[in-house]
Amino acid sequence: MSSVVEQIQSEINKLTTNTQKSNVGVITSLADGVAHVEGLSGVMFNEMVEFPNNVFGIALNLEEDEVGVVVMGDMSRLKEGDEVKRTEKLLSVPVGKALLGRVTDALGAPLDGKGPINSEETYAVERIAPGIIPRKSVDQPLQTGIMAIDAMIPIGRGQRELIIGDRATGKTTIAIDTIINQSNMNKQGEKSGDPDFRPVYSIYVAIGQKNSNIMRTLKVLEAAGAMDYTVLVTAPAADNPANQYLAPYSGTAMGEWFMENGMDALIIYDDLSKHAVAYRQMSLILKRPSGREAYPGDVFYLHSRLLERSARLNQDSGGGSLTALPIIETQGGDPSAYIPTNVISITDGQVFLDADLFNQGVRPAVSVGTSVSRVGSAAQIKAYKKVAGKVKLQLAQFRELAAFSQFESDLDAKTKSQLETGKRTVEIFKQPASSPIPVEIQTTVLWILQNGFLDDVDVKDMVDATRSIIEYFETRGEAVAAKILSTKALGDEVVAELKSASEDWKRSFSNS
Amino acid sequence: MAGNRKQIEFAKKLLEISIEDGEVNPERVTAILEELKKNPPAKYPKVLRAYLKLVKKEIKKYTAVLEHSGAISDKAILELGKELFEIYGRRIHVTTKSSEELIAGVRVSVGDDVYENSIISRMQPLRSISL
Repeated sequence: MSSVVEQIQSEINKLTTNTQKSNVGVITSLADGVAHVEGLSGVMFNEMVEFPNNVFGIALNLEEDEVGVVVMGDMSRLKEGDEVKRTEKLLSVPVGKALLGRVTDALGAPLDGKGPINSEETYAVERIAPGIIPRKSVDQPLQTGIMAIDAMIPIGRGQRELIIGDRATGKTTIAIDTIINQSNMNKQGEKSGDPDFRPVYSIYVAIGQKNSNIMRTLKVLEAAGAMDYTVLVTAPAADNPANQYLAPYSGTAMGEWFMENGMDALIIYDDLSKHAVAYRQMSLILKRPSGREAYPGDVFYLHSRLLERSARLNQDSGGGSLTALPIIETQGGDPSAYIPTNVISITDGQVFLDADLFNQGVRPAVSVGTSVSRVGSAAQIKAYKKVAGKVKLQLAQFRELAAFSQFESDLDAKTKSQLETGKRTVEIFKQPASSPIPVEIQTTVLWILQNGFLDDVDVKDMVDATRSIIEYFETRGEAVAAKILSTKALGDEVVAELKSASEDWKRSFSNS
Repeated sequence: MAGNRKQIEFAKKLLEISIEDGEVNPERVTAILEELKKNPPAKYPKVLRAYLKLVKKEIKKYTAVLEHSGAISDKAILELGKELFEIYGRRIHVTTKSSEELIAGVRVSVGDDVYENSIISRMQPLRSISL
């Protein structure tokens, strides 16, 4: 009997060979992060190829005679004549909750010295955006914790809202504060034990930034305890352009895992201007035809295919969402340059940061007139909508009237009053970095402003008054704030309690 | 590259007329070279270099290089030719080359495709881990 088994086994052994088939090519030239390869006749677009010494690349230019491969790794270990192999795999990155709290490179490899990432799944870096059928309109708020944004340019889960402004106007600060606020809300929500609570996980993609800046961001997030819910994907300025080009796509793949598994995620691309520059560099080396400002013709598609991957899915598709906050740096406050206009047209609105406002001390320096949120207002909670509904219009009118404020004596009483209210509103929206305000507290602050409790407070004292309101409703008035959060509306009972608490605050503030 | 486009196009036409029954015909190549010498086209050296590159590439498509470590029988070479005919649907000429670096086993290269069953290829994953 055993001889029969052995006979069959031997026949199987004869059939089983360990021959490996591979499709190969040879490096014909190597420069500036790009290898031109002859051969690789079967290679696919965007396929990973393997060079000797464990160096990988992506096939980006498929030409008749050769393949243009962008090298992702140490090019000094390669030379002309080296063999290049197909891997038959698209570039993939690890995804899942194991990434939370970690700092990775553009390929998902850990950089934080905390050991390997124990992720069970990988997602292809380039994926097709969700189609029309699985999508749903934005209807849940994503609180940034920044009053100027939550009140006037509200963002919903699944929205793409651009943060745009000159250098050093607070773009990254807004992004970081938003992450910190998600973390604070996640902690609060988990503590409350509310079964309907949906945490928001954050992915911060740093593209072309200085390592020192990335380190500073990491320290801020760690200090705020936000890293427990955050993944940092980095492709610093010292990294090769291929990694800078890939990093946002890798981060998006990580975010998509949360979205496709019925969770909510937030992704920040800091910033897409540098991303476009890295792509331009790669394209020029690959000898692709260049267009306006030397960017290649598909620079719009570069960003549209990235941002289209952020969406809100319907219940049949799990009900998850991926909210994107891309950042764009303008030159001299001009949003009409090539890349800014592209991204403005792709996104669902923009938060425009004005350098002049920033220098005047209005921080966050949100320019109300040029900022807009096309879909987010549908996501505001009822109570907040009630108090914040008119603020944007009032502030925009104030900015127009402010030009006349130097001739104040010539103005009628109504205009003067509008100017006074405007000045107070501007002051109330001033907010220091890394101190996001919960939505229920924001509601109380705006309610107090709208109901005249701050009319007799000097404009110069408004910042102190706002701080005092926040402190009051975080301590003595906590019950009212909690009621606003739980009911999400300003019913008669809540308003009565809010009025009584506001009078109490006013007394204590006047006495101080 | 763009500047050489005309020469490459011309070399491609030369390659087309060099092929008979799916293979580069040496007599046709000789005739083409003589004709070119008599009536040299513009940028003659570039045309020749492009022609050489294309001919080499074409020959590579139907030539298999069998690298082996240790002895290999004529029967095995014949069998390999048959196998390759099955895969590529055309006659493949097999040439042999001794290669001690394989340690043991064989490697067959046809055009850009490489089939390998050698000790060195099996050791490759171990090498990647240790790097």
